Formats: sequence, structure tokens, C-alpha cells
Amino acid sequence: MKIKIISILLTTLLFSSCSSWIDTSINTDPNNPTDVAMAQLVAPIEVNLAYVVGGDLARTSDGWMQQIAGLQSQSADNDIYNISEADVDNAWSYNLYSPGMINTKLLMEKAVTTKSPHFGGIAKILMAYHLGVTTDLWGDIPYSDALNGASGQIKSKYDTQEKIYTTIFSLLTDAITDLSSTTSVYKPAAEDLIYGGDLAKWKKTAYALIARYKLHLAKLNGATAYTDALTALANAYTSNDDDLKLAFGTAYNNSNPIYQFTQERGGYIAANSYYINMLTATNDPRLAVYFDGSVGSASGESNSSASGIGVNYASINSTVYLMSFAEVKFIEAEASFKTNDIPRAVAAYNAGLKSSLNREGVYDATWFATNSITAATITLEKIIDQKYLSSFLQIETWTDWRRTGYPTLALAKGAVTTEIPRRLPYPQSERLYNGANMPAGLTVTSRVWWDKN
Amino acid sequence: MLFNLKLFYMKKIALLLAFFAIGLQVLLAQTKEITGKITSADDGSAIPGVTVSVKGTTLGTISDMNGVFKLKVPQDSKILLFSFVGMTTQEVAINNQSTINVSMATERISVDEVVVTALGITREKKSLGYAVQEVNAEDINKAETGNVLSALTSRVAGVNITSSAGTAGASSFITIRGQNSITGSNQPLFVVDGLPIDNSMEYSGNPDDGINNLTNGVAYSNRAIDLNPDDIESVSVLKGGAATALYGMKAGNGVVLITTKKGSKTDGKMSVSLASSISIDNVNQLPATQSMYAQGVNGKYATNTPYSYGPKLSDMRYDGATNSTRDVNGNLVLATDPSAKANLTANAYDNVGNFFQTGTTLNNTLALSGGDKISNFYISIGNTTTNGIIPKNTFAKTSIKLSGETKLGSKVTASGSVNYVRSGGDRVQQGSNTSGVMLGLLRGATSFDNSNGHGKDGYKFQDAYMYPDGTQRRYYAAYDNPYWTVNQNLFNDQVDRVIGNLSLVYKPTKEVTIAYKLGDDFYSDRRKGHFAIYSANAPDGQQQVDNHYSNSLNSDLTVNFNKELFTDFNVNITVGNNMYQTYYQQLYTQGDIFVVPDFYHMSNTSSQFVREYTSKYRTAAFFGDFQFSYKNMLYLGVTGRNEWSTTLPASNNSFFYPSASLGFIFTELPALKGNKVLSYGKLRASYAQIANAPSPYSIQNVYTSATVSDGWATGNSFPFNGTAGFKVSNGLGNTNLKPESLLSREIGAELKFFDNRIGLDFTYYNNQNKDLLIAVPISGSSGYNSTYMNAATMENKGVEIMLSVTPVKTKDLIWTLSGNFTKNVNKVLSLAPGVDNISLGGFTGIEVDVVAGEPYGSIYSTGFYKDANGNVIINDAAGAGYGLPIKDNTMKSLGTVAPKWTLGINNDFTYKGIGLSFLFDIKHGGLMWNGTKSRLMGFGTAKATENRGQAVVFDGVKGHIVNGEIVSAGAKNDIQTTYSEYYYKNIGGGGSPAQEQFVEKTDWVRLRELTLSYELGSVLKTPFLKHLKVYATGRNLWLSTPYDGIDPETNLMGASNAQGFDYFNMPNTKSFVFGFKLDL
Repeated sequence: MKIKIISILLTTLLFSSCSSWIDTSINTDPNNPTDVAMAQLVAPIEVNLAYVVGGDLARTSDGWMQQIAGLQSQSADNDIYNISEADVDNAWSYNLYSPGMINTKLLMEKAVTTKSPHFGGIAKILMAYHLGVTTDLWGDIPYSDALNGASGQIKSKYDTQEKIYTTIFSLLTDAITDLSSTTSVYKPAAEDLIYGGDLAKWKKTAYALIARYKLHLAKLNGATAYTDALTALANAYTSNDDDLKLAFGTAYNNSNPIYQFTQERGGYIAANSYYINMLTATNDPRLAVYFDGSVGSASGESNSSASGIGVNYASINSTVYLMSFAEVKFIEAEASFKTNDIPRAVAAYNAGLKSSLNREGVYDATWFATNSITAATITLEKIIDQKYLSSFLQIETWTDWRRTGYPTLALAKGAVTTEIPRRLPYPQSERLYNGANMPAGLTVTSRVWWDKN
Repeated sequence: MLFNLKLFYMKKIALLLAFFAIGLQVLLAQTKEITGKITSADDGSAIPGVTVSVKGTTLGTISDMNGVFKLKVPQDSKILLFSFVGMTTQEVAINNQSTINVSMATERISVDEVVVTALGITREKKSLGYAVQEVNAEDINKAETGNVLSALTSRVAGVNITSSAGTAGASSFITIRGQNSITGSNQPLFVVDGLPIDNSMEYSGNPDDGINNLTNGVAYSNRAIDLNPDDIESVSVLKGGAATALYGMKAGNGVVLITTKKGSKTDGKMSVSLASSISIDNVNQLPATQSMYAQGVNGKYATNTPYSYGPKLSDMRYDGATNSTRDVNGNLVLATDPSAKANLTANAYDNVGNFFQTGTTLNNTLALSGGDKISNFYISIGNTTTNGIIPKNTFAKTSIKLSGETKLGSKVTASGSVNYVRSGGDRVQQGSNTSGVMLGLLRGATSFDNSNGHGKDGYKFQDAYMYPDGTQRRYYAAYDNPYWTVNQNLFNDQVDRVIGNLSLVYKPTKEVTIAYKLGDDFYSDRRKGHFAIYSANAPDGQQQVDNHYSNSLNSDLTVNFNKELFTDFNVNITVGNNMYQTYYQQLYTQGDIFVVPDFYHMSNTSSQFVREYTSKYRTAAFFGDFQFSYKNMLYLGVTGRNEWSTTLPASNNSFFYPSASLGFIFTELPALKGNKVLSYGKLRASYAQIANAPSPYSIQNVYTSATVSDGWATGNSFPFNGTAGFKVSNGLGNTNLKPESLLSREIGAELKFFDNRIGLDFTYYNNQNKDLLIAVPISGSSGYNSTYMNAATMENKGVEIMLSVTPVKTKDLIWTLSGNFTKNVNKVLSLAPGVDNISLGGFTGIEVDVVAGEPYGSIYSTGFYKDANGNVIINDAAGAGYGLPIKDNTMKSLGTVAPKWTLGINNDFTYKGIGLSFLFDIKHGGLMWNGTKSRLMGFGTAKATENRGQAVVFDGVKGHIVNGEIVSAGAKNDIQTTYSEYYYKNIGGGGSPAQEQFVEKTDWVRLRELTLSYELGSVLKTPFLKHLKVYATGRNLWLSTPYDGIDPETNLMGASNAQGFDYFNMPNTKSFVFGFKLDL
């Protein structure tokens, strides 16, 4: 009897203690919040964008554009265009789409729900930038159907590059409207690492990007592309102070991507002799800040004596440029040149060169005077070559080469392809997890939509 | 000779039992007296407590402390029976003898063997309807591995154990009957005296890098290493579902039940045991490196390159310069160089041979135990100190254990135990880490002397690895001199751990037992490490302080009812409740960029960042275990457990796990009873459903502190320049989670022949796993990279055969031969819709993946283009690759890392007091990526590259690539080329070669243990000395394997699911152990 009572008591006790023991609040994640404010989303989007555009993507593109050379391992493979679908997985899945575009999309949505168009405008510009980078590298990409994983849709249809470009322009135009709005419940401030919430500069950026992406369509649209670009430029940057750029920090985990790469992958990349030769031909003062010496390695040569990346681009806190006054000027130079406004082209060329020299801190009046262009000497090749020299580690150089064929590059020694690639392969993860939607039958030498033959 | 120790206790217990329990009457008048002495056939010692009885009567007595018996028997008595637990019963004809001396032999294979089963319930093995295998203390301590896991290697069928490296304190990975989870843990539950304990392997390094930390950093320990093997009485491995069903959601991967030693009734006298050994460890196998060519490229000597494609050393001389920073003999120049000193021929330094040391491991355990009718106790103190084969690599463990039990009145027994352990040591950088020891060592050129003239003592001299200005002396700037790493990049861990439990047992009646046990296992693991300034892995220096804390609390209440309900029909019912909580916390702090050299403190770093992680979950369960037996012949067991877990959604967090098992001892049937050939036969069958619970916090979508990485370098993390930032987690949560479920079915037979001289145990199992949780990778364009789902299905089917034979069994010599054979066939049936591949880990071009339709852990790699007939395509297009095989970057499956089968063969000879045993370990199948070799080919340090410059026509057919497609007419290749530097750097080796050529077989036959022991106790015959055994053991003395590198029992990523990687892994060891065990 006694046992029975004890058992009943014990059982009751246990059952009641069990239900409180299995307290569901124990499973609330103590390590991570379930929601955050817009202010906390902006900075990571900017850092991620600068890290991938100024790091991984720059190393691939500007390896092919022969600004830099790969001396060993995967970087040496890159030199000879030996790129696999796995090599681009990180940039696509772990930088551009996530955290890049998904957080930008969340920021856009939060801006609507909180009636904060100033955040919305910045978000739209950042989204347009991500789309521009992604489509220029891969061609057709998912967007209108993409970024819906949280609602269970994990396979996204691809949009044509044409549609993506339409989206880019409408995002940028909408951004200008949003940024012009007089009211915004929440306003971006210091957490906007690029402009500290300066809306005027963001608006100039929107115009600068419209100009850049209009120019990209030159092969398709001809003169219209140039006039569209020139129209947009009227409201774009007016000095180097306007540049869309991100300065990295002096802490290792806040440091520049090229710096980190050279620290952790020592001996992988160095100066390319093609670029070095162009710079030394004119005794260009930028050589001293682009590289730590003047020895180059030709693509595919793997010359281990080649000089490393220089102080302005591989220091711990080196800045990554995403859009610049210099680029704006070279867009103006090209568009003016192609629309036969030679004086404007000459002025823009020289302004672009001066901007670049100032930006690199190596402006020298004498050198500038001897190396500036005149109406007699200006050519499209010279404009693009100077843009190329002013765009160290900018992925835009690859787009320019595909559009114009300049600079004139030779195929790397030991190349595994018959010509320099004109697009990136789609990532392995897309083939595996979204294969049905992914365009098939493309190689790295297939052309994207705007790269009309 | 611990089975003798066991026997010794059994003798004493039996003696007591005999005195108190059995009342054997000697009454009759018409009698004669028979006297005699009973001794052990094993060692000649007297056996007290042997029951001596007249066959067919109830007459009998027992032998006294000296083994002597006196028995009055009726005049017409014919036969005397001598019986004793654990020894073969003997029948002796009386005839006219009045003195009968008997020598009794140990019954090595006892039918009435008892084993520890779930919840620590001890059962007769014959009553079980499922397979359980027990390893005793003697076998565990034979090899003196210091890690209970390694000690089980090759001894248990169905169990696969891989030690990750030969470094001091390295982890071991164990799976039972294959994998049961895709990305969750596949390690069994470890239970010590009823308390589940932690056996995790926590890694250090920036937590944002996740599992990538496993490919670099140091080799960590798995926490079962904290147990002192000398404290262990036995280890019982519960393999199938029916054996583990009572543990519910924690038991999906099997259970390793460890029972520790307790005090026994020694009538108040104290027993003292001392176990002491020293192990001498040396490297057992290393990759072959060349000593012919100097550092350089294109046949020219250069020091600013990592490669060893320089000139032949025989064509080189030193210039005799006294100010050379490269070599004590001066700078290397070609013999034709004007500065060459003809008599100063170039040395080929044996950097690898010089680097490894003879390691030692000292093991000492002192145990005191004793007891009387009321109480007993056991106290031990043990220490293991290892100095590794790598200089400065240490591991030490000190364990103090106290357990006791006392009777509180006649019905209540209280007991408790507490074990304090301190373990840890200095670990060295390894793996894919430019500061890794093997990386810098093996890539290093033979023309450069890492030791700077100090040879074997290089690690002791600063001038070997450092120039006077504090910068590093190394063969090439990108990698650390291994002597630098062991001196300047120290990483230390220290675990302080307490495992304790309290238990109360109340026995109100003979049939009912109520028991309550509360246990806790907690530890702190404090780690601190740094990279000095000028270290390759962190040139500006880095400080890491990483603190882990873990606490697991377990409560068990059981009520047991055991009664013979009707004649021959017994029921044994246990019902109970279990509550469990585990808590884990990590605080990782990293400081970068030292301001002042040689001062390793956070305050001396220019920037710091901190990561905090906390995890907690609870489970609660009610369970019942119903055992019915009929006539010692038919045994039915039914169990059920209902369990709740906080890691599941509140609406769906209760799950029920049933099991049933049946054992039928058919030799108990009247027709078969007493059969001369088949002495014992049992059939068993079982069915069970068990589970693995999901990990905490898998339900919600959350935001995480933002990190940015491109997969090439560490990346950025927030706060960024003081600005906090978050991003949505790239893994989606799931509100419909269920536990992973395992349906386990097993049949088996146990047969013994010729009076147990031959024993055969056969098991076939079929385990079906479903609802396996995977972070299903999804296309990044969805905005996320994975979603956590109950998606996958997998199966394990296998056979376990244990055979034991006693070919010789005489008074003096016993030879037993036992083997255990394991074959497990794993197949991943499906992953998730649209997902057929999940990567467990890897590098560019080489991964270990989980792929639907293939076994768990398939190696995927790049390879060569081949035609339809499998011929390699040889490039016939002009260019650098002309005449060479063409690399195909598409990842293809090469097969599994899991062995096809394994076989452990153990031989035991005992001759008088001498024991000789050897354990062979045979493994067939299983692949490993020899990433070390792939790299060494590229660097030109592999022995195989000595054929550089030789002519070759590669086997294959001619062809080339046009627009990404192979074009080949199928003509056999006849292009003569050479083994060129280009070939070794790009195709036949290097950073991203055709990896398939470096995926190698890891079959092996090894002599895992060879032990020779001698029981001196019986020789010395000192009264106070019960046993003194001296022994010598050789561990890993002989290895035969086709694997072309270090010992293939290794894994870069330690005790993780990603097995099968060798990338500059630390080599394994072979050891000689000398020791003694003393019992007073």
C-alpha cells in the first residue's frame, strides 16, 4: 500500500515536472535575434559587396584582363582560363545572392513597411549594383522569381539579361524618386559606411550607374547608348569625393580582401607583365602604388619573382572602389568620342586621368602634362586603355574589353580555351539545385546578350 | 591478468555466498571421508569456495580458503562433482580413493556470461534477443593507448574506430553499424555507470569559419579521452535498436556502456592495485621524399620559390661564405660557378628524419579498494603523460576517482561516485595551414637544413628557426619552418572535468527495487594559442583564447519488479522516468596583430573580436521494459519509451519508441539437451524503432551577426570598424521538424560446440533510417543556401560474425583464437527532392560527399578525360599540355571511404603464468585522398618526382578539347614526352591536379597489438602479493598497405563526419610498451 501511494505521488510529481521541464522557451535561440532594424542591415550589404567585387571577382576578371597574374595553385589556373563551376560558387551563393541580394531585398521591404524611402532608395541602388555585377558576369540570372526561399520557393526561374537591364534602370530611377522624398521615418546615418547617409551622393551614384549600364548596351543600341549615358552623367559625380567606395579597417577581420588574400595565399598573385609594361612605357607614377616592384609575370608564365600588389590596393585598410568620378569621366570620354564630340572627349579623358592620379595620390603636373591627350591623338583605344590603367582591380575592365576589344590582349601561354573567356560558368550549386532553370549549353567563351558579335 | 583478478573476486564472493546462502547438510552415518585440494589449472593457486557434491544427491561442501575440502560421503557414492562459477565443472569417479586432488580449468566461454545492458541492467547474455558485445578490462588495457576508444579498435564486431593522428591527445572517431545521420552526429552515446557523458570534439578557431576550422588548426581530443582506462571494469557495446531502445532519441547511433570498477567485499581488508607502463613511440610510416634535387625551378637553383625543381645536388657546391643565412656551409652554387668550393659538396638534408623524435607515454594508476558487508569503496589516482613524436607536443591527463556504496538499513543502499579529470597539452599546428608542421616539413627543400646544423636537436636551438633580428629562418617565405611552429605557434588546452553521480536503491520486498540516480558531467575546456609575428599563417601575429563549458545533467528513476509468477515463468518489469539536460557555452576571443613581439596577451593585439555561442536542450521520457522468460529457454523482451524534446516544435514534440526482442535457446529443448556436439544454441530476433533528436534552434529563421567571406581567406566579420551589422541567416529554419528515425531489425544465432570449445555468433541486421535531417543545400538564387529538413533516407545492412575457438586446452596451455568480422553496407537511398549531393567537407576539386544511391562518404574528385572505353585522353593539340593527359574538372564519384569489411583476429596463449597474445587488424576497401602526395608532386619533393626529365609515353588515346568537348579518333597514344616540371605542377600534382590519381586504397593488414606477459605472483609466492604481472606490448609494429603516404589510419578532420582526408596529416606511431600490474 505504502509503495502504491509513493508510486502515485512520484508519478504525479514527475508528470507535472515533465511539462515544465520541457519548456519551449528553452529552444529560443539565445545566439541570434529573430529580427533586426534597417540600420543593422545596410553596413553588411556594403561590406559584402565591396569584399567580393574588390576581391574574388577582381582577381578573376583582372587576371584575365592581365593586370595581375596567378603564380600558383588556383590562381595559376585562373591565368590560363581554367575555371570550374565550383570556383564561382562562393561569389554567387555566398556573396552576391546571399548575403548580398537577399538582405538588400529585406531592406527594400522594411523600407516600405516602415515608410522610410531614404533607406529604400539606397537599397534599390545597391540592388541595381548587385544585379549589374551579376548579369555582366553570367548573362541571364534569376531575379524576378528569385530571393523567395523563406516562402518555400527554392528554385528560381532565370530572367534574360535584357530583362535584368530593364530592372536595373527602373530600380535606379525609383531610387532617385525615393531619395528625393521629403519624409522618411527612419533615416540612414553613420551605419551607411559608404556615404554616412548623404542622400545627394547616393543620387549622384544612381545617375552614375545609369550611365555605366547604358554604356554597356553600346553594341546593341549604338548611338542611343552613348546619348543615354551622357544624359545621365549630367547629374552624376563631380569630384573624387563623390566616389562610391568602401574603406576597409585596420582590424584583420575588417580588412581589405586583396590584403587578406595576399596574407593567407602568399605567392598566389602578382603583377602581370602586360600591365607593368603599359605602366612603365610612360613611366606612369601609378606603378609605385599598384605594385611593390616592377617585375611582372606574363599570363601562364608563373614567374615567382614577379612583384606583389602595391600599397594602395593590398594594405590592410585599402579602399575598394565601386564607382568613381574617374570612371564617369572615361564614360563621358568614350560616349563623346563615339558621338563625335572630340573636344568634350579630350577634356573628359584628361579629367579622368587627373582624377585617377589624384585618387592614387601620385598626381604630378609635369607628368600629367606630357601624358594628357589632345584632339589629334585621341582614339577609342587610347580612351579605353587609359580607363584600364585607371581601373586597377576593377571588374569593369572586363566589360570594357568585351565591348570594345581594348586593351588588346594576347591569349595566355598554356591557355585551356581558344580565346579569353567572355562570361563566367554558372556555379555548381545552380546546376545541382536549380538545374532545370539554368541555361544550358554555354561555355566561358559564349557571349552574353549585350556582347553582340 | 585481470581475468584472474576477476576470478579472485569471484572466488571470494562465492565463498561468502556459500557460507550464507546454501546450507549443505552432512548427516548420514554409513560414510567415509574424502579429502583433497582444489587448485587452478591456470596458475596452480588454491581455489576456495568450490562446491563439492556427490552426484545425484544434495550432499556436499565447499573448499576452504586453502582450497582444501573434507566431505563425508555414503559408502556407495560413485561420483564427486566439482563446480565453481567461471570454471568447467568436473566429475571425478570416487572408486576407493580417500584423497582426491582436482585441478580446475577456467571456463573461458561461459554460457552464463553476464553483460551490462541498457540502463546499466546486468543480464545473463543468454537471455538477450539482440547482440551485445563486451570487452573486459584486460583487453582494454592491453595496448595502453590511454584512450578507451582506441583500446576498442578491432575488438568489437560492427564497430569502426579511426584514430585521427599519431599526435599526443588526438581524437578517435567511432561508428557502430555505419552512419545513421547525414550531417548530424554519427557517434554513439557514451554512458558511464548509467550517466550519459560527453564525447564531443570541440574545435577552435574563428567560429565564423565553421567546419573549415577542422582542415587547419591543431588536432583536438574527443572527450572520452578523459576516462582513465584503468578505472574501467568492462565496456559493453550496444549495437542494434533493440539493445538501445530504452535510450530513445539519444541512441540512434548505438551506445557504448562503460562500467567502472567498484570496491568489493574484502572483509574490511584493503586491496591495492598499481598499474604502471611506459610506451616508447616512433613514427610508423612517412611519405617518401626525394633527396636528389635542390630548391628551384626549371632546373635552376632559386630560394624565392617553394619548389624543388632545381639542379641536382650532385652538381652543386657551397661557396663557403660565412655570412650565408641559408646554410652553415655557405650559399649553394653550381659546381661550375667560380665561387664554388670543390670540396664542399652539397648536402641533402634529411629534414623529415631529423624532425620526428622518440615519444614517450607514461601511464600510472594507483587504486585502493575494499569493503565489508555494509560498505565498499574504490579510490584511484591515475596519470598519463605523453611527449609526442613531434617536439614540444604534449598531452597529460590526471584522473582521481572515488566511488563508494553503503547499506542504510536492510532495504536501502546508497552509492555515489565522483571522477575528477584534468587533461590537455600543447598541440601543434597541422593540416591545411601554412604554419602546419607537416606542410612546412614535407614541402621543404632537401637542400635547406631546417635545423641549421643542429640535426635531431633542431627544435632546441633558436638559430634553427629564427634570425637574430627575430624574423623567421625558413626555406621559403610562405610556409613556417616546423621548428618555428613548434616553438612559436603554441596552442594549449586544459580540461577540468567532473563526472559524478548519486544513487539510492530501495528494496521494499524481494521482488521490487526502486532506484533513483542523479548524475552530472561538466567540464571547462580552456584553450589559448598564438601565432608569433612572422608566422606564415598570421604574419602580424594572432592571439586566440577559446573557452568552452559543457554541463550534462541526467536523472533516472526506475522501479523494477522481478518474480517467478508461475513455475518456469518469470517476469522482470522495469518502468521509469528519465530527465536530461545539456548546456554548452563557448566564448572565443581573437586578437590580431601583435604590437610588442613575444608578449602573448590580448592587450598586446591591435584588434580583437569575440564570438559567443550558447546551446541548451532538455529531454524527458517515460519508459518501460518488460522481460518474460520461460524455463531458461524462451526470452521475450518488450520495451517502450515516450520522449519529449525541447528541440522539437511544441506542437509535435512527443514521440514513442518501441522495441521487441526474442531469444530462444533451442538446446534447452529436451531432444537437444546435453548434446555432445552442440553444447549451446540460441536464435534471436529483434525489432526496434529509435531516433536521433534534431539539434537546438533549428526551427526559426534568424538573423546572425554578419560575416563576409569569399572562401579564399578569413573574410570580414562584424562589428566593422565599430558598426554592428546583421544578416539574415543563410540557412532556413523549419517549423515542422521531427526526430530522425531508425527502424532496426536484427536476427542472429549463437552456437557453441564441443563443450564450448568452438563458439560462433552470427548477426544480420537491416537498419532503415528515414526523416534524416539535412541542411538541404538550395540554389543561392533563392536568397538562402540551405534549408533544414527531415528529408533523407539511408540504410545499413550488415553481418557480424564472431568466432572463438579454443584449439588447445590442457592443464598448462590454453590457446584461444577469436575473430570478429564486420561487414556493413551503407546506402544513401535518397536525400531531398532535387538534391543528390551534400558535401561533408573538402578542398577545390576533392570532396567527401553524401550522394543518393551511393554509400555514405563518397569521394568526389576531378580526374582525367576518358573515352567511352575508359582510356585516358592524351592531348595531341600543340601547347603546354601536348602529350599529357587532359584534366577534367568535372567532379566524379570514385567510391566510398568506408571499408568493405574488417576483420580482427586475436590469439591468446597462456602457458602457466606466461601469456602471449596478438591482435591482427585487417581492413579491406575504403578510399582516402592522399592530398599530401598530390602537393608534394607539384612541389617536387615527392620521391616519385625523381624521374623528372625521363621520357614517357602516357597510356591512353590521343585527343583534344574543342569547345569544351573531347575530340578523339581513338588512336593509341604514341607521343613521347617527359615527366616535366610542368606536368607535375599542373596535371600529375600541384594545387589542382586531376585529383583522381591521388585517391588511394587504404586496405591494410596490421599487427595492432602483440603482448607478452608473465604472472610473477605465482612464482614469488609472497603472502601479501596477490598478483604481479609484467608485460611488454608492441602496438602497430607491422603494417602492410598499398597507401602511399603516412599510415592510412588517419583523418584530417578528426572525429567528424568528413572522413577520408589526408592533407599534411600528422603521421601515426608504432610503440613499445613495458609495464606491470601489481595487486596487493
